[in-house]
Amino acid sequence: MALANLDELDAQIIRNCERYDRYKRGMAPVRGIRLVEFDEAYQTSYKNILVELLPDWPLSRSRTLAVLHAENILARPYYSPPLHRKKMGYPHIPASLAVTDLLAERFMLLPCGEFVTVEDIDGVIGLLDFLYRHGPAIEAHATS
Amino acid sequence: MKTHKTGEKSFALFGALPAFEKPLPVAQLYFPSWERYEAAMRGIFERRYYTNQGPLALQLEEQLQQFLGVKHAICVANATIGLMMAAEALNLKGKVILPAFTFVASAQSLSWCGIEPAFCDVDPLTHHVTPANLEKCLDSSVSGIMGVNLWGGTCDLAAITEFARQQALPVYFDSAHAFGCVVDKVKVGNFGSAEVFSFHATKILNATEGGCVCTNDDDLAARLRNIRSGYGAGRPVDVLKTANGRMSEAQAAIALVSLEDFPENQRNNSRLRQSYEAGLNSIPGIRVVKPSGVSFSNYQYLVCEVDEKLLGFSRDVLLTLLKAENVICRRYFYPGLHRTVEYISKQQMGADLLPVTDHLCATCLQLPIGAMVTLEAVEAICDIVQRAHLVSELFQSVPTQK
Repeated sequence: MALANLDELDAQIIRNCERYDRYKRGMAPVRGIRLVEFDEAYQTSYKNILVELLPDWPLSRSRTLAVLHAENILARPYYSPPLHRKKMGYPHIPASLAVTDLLAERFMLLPCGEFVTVEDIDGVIGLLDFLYRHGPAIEAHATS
Repeated sequence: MKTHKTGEKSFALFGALPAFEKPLPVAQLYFPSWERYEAAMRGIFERRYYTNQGPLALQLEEQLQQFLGVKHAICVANATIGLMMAAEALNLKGKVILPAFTFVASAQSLSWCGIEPAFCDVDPLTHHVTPANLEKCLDSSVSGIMGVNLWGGTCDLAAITEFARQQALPVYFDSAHAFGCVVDKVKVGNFGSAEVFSFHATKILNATEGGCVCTNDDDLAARLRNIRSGYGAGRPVDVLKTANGRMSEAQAAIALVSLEDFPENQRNNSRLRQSYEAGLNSIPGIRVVKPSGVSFSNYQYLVCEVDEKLLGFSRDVLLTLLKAENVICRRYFYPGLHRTVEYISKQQMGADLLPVTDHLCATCLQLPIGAMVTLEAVEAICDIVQRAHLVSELFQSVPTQK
């Protein structure tokens, strides 16, 4: 299977790149959220679509994920929890990692890969735009 | 295939054509037909669900639980990682006692977990570990016992389990050789804290690579499932280490077909074994080892002991002459783990501390049994051994593999 996939790799990367470009173009006008862009000076597989929730994003990440999951958009917190927050059953020096803690609360992976069409991507972006514009109302509704 | 010739010129070792045109392997190698394989793979591609505890892995676990009559069958990528996960889930530390007469993965699984293997000897007749063997390795740093079930048989499971209970030590079993075997109406997989099966291509239940850990302990099962995947699975419990031990859908698909075929494959092994017993047991110096401790065996291994004095030449000469005939038999196990480079310095073994293991490692030979072997092939192999015995003086100075 890996040999067959290796034959397909170049075509897969081209399709990944098309999905990435769709996200990049579509998310440019959406406020409060940032697509983490690939450094295209280097060869890349465009494998993950990583976004950062900016300070003006109106919802917590967990609320954002809950809304996306309810719409069958299986976004993931990334990474969560960070490793130093996991339970350790052996002697260790507790780590105070402020930057890691901050990053671990702000990033999500959005759907990508072969199951995802450009139309799906448009739908995800449309929902994110909706969440930004109606965030306070959604939060109020969720907590009422 | 040629048979019933006599004299020096009838042996490939001395220039005759080999008895078999192609090498005849020892492994079980029962694979489904292309049509069944294709149908199973098509389902995976239609679902586009390839791994991460997919529907076929779940189905396999359910069917294994039913087949074995065990509460939890936790499928894994291979038996070695299953053994590692079992040691971790049982929280073993310090030393674990296990027989030196076993496959190297039994001990390597402990080394991966930072546990020191304490090697004991085995019974000369059954080749299995006994409470008396275990007792000699007991000390305060021992935290558990790994029993090993060999040749489609088992050690005396009741005696080993009772010994462990008396010592307040957990016991688990490497049952890579014993899938489908039965002890007093109970399937192997239900004994000790856990048992680990191999689904390697060489075994009767075949996922190409794979294995499973079986247990009737709900808490141990939860720990095993949380260790198996970094993402966790099932009831979340705290575990210290996680591993990517998941079984892929492709592995599970083949294992499901293989499970369906188990009765027929077991019957085929049984037929071949009967033929070997009829052909070999009358030859002086050859004893076909019986699977011990079980009322029903998978007969996935055909192992015989060679008595050099009676046969007229050594096990290693027999191996050499059979290999020349394209019979790819194996010294199994060789060497004893206490004499491997990985462990010899730590064990500080004298020349004769594990005399039975040393003797078995010098005299046991594994012969082909499985999908690639016909009754005609067994007859031909037995005929070669019989003829060689009759002219044993020809083989006195044959150089052998070290």
